[in-house]
Amino acid sequence: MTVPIASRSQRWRVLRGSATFWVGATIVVIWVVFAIFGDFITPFDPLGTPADVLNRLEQPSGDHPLGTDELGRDVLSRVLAGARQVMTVALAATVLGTIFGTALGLLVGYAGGIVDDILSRILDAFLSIPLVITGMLALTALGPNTFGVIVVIGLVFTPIIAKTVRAAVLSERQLDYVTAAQLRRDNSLYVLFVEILPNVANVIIVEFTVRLGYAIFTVLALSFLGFGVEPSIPDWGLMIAQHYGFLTGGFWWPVLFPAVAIASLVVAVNLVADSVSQAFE
Amino acid sequence: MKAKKSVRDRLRLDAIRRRATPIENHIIDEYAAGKITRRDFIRRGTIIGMSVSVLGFVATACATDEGATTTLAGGPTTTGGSGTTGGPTTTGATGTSGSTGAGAIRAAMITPAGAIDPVLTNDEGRLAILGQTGQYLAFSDAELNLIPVLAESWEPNETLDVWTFNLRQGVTYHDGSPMVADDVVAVFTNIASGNAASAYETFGVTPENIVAIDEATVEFTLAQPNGSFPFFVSSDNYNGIIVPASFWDSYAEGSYETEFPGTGIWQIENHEPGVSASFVKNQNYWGDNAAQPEQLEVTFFADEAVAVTAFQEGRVDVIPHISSSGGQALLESPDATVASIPTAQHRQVYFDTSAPPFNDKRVRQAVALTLNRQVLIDGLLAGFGTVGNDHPIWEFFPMFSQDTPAQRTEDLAAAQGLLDAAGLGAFEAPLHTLVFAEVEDLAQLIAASAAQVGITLNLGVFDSGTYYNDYWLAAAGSMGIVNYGHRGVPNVYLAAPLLSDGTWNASHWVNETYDDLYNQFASAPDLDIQRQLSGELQTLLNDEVPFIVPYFVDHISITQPNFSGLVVTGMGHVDLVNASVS
Repeated sequence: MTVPIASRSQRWRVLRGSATFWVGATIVVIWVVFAIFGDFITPFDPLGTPADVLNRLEQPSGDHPLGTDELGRDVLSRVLAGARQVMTVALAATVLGTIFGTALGLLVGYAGGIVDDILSRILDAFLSIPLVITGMLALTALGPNTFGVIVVIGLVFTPIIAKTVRAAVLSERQLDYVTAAQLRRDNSLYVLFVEILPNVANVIIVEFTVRLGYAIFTVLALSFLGFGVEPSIPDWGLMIAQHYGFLTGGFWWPVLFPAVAIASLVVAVNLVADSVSQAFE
Repeated sequence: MKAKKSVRDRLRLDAIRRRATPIENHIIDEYAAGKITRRDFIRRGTIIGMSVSVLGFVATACATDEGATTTLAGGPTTTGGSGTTGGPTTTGATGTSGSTGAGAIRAAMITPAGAIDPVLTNDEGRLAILGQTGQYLAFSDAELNLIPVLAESWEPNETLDVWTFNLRQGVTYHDGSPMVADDVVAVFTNIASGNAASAYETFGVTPENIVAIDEATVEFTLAQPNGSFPFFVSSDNYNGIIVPASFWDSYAEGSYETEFPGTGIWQIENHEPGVSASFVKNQNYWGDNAAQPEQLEVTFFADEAVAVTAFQEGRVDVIPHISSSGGQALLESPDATVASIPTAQHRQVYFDTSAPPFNDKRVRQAVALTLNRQVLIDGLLAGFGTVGNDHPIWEFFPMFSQDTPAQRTEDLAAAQGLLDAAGLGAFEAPLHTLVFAEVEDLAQLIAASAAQVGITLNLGVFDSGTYYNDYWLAAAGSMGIVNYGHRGVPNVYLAAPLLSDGTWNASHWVNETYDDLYNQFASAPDLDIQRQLSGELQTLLNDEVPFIVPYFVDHISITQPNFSGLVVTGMGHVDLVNASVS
């Protein structure tokens, strides 16, 4: 079973005609370029040198257009280099959550009955706990590191995506092509992943784009709270956490510019997600 | 020119020397011979219990040209400048005579890390509050003098292993009951198992060997001689505030917060844990507190940025302690008065010497050689610090040896050479520490410095609970950074983290030569001998590098321009008896 060609081209036409999609996609692509080629683009070493500390908290100037941070490192270089950290972690976490959530949603929706009832209640219980709190608890137990952040966010997203996929599967399983497959005595896994999955792919794609925006925000929230990367790594959330205490002294630049970077990426991803949602619905 | 001595002075000096113990006479001899400075003479004299009036007379009568005029270059300076005349009423404070004692003082203090409790207190937030309502037998001031407070005097036996403290008479607690020797014994019996355990170990004290001779006399018998023992019962051992013996009958964790019993200048009025505390003047204080304000309102701030904002908005009069990074906004402000005192507080960057790669001292030396210490002080501490040389004997301690090994400075070529000699190429190791003042930034700069010779240090920065429980003494093959607060003598620094069986030996360093040297140092009554032993200790530690001491940290206080009378110590004690807002 495949998605109709006409439908796919129609969606692409909708996307191409969407100004918000192009604005969002352009910004995302720019950040992707920084994430991949940041090492060659940044004017200074984002990790700095020990002697840089003598130039701490210098305001924006010709030498340092976005100023320096508390250890004298170039803020522009750290903002550009920080794209890699957040995009890598958020993307990996979203992919992980989407894979697990899709598999779980397919199983729960297709099985129905008591399996659906029990697993749905368990998923509801997970969803009732705030995302960041769940992440903090898990990272406290596992220990804060990049891999842990990916796994935790991926697992936290799993029930959310599973609920959405389950709802789509519940609609699909009533349709004739599923009944026909069952009458053919096709293997259940075959029915799930070959028959039903392609027909709920739209839902999964939309969910993926929406979750990516949330993942970026969650990654940065966790690193702001100290549950992310080690302190020397350029990370937007951590940069804000390390410097907000200096705001009272008028040292706004190490906080403002990472915040602007976060806002631009999250808004851009959400613009893309909105456009994709409209195109697929 | 030698000071002229009258016949009357000589006779009085002779009389003093006849009554003096051999140890007291030895110190007088050292001073008279010009071996120690006037300042060191007074410090040593106060430690072994010589009265201030005797010290003052002998200091003048025996003055040599050098002895009479020498002061510690760059030595401690305080906001109040207490000298040694600070009697029991001011615990070292001076300066604001003429204050009316009216009004309230508003202070922003560090949030206590837990219930305020004499047994469990291990942080500056709690000790600063304990010191408002409670007092110690003696007060260790910012200039390393030991000021008698609830003990009027003390003296050792000839072998320095029995110390007798004579308690001040007429002292009452806030509820009007008298302070007696049994109270002192009860305190030092009940705090032994708590945070002060390392101090007991350092000074060789066991609770069974503390006895009340009579209502006004307490005797401590030590496991081994110790010439600095009075610091054990001073504010340096901040758990040892004196409370009524009855307090311990129903003691439970945090029960101190019910009434905040003590003999101090303030009585608790209201306490909201973690938020605020207010105190009123102790109208029945045993000493002279006429100039004391009527009220003290303390607001706790977990975040220095919030304290700075409150200060800028005029909601607090004084921040008794702030870090150079947290207080950056105020350090250059014309609307704030900044005062600092050099202290022995330092960060120990320790190596696990029990496992590779740091079981090879060449590797430890190599890491130490990557640091530019002056850059660290200028960058991280805004210049508020003094350079360390990989041993904890602060240059302002009287027993510091000038014959110390040459100051270790950044030398990347030498560092690389040591690593090559050790057969190590590029390697990785964990560096664990806690969120505290500038320590997280220090960890990053140490990692960046080590990276210059191919060492990758993977940083782990944790809250203090996680760090102390899971990493401090445990992780093998790692480095770590831990903070050591100010002390009036280096004994705790030299014992707990360095002795082979030391309870805080995070570097797992075992060295019998060191253990032997330290035991000689601790029992030496003679400053000359202590200096000589210090020199050997300094050289040994600098060579072995169980930990790096990159710098010693100044204590910074900030007050409103119209505020005066703040006295602080490097440890974090806050004395506001003479504080006033004009």
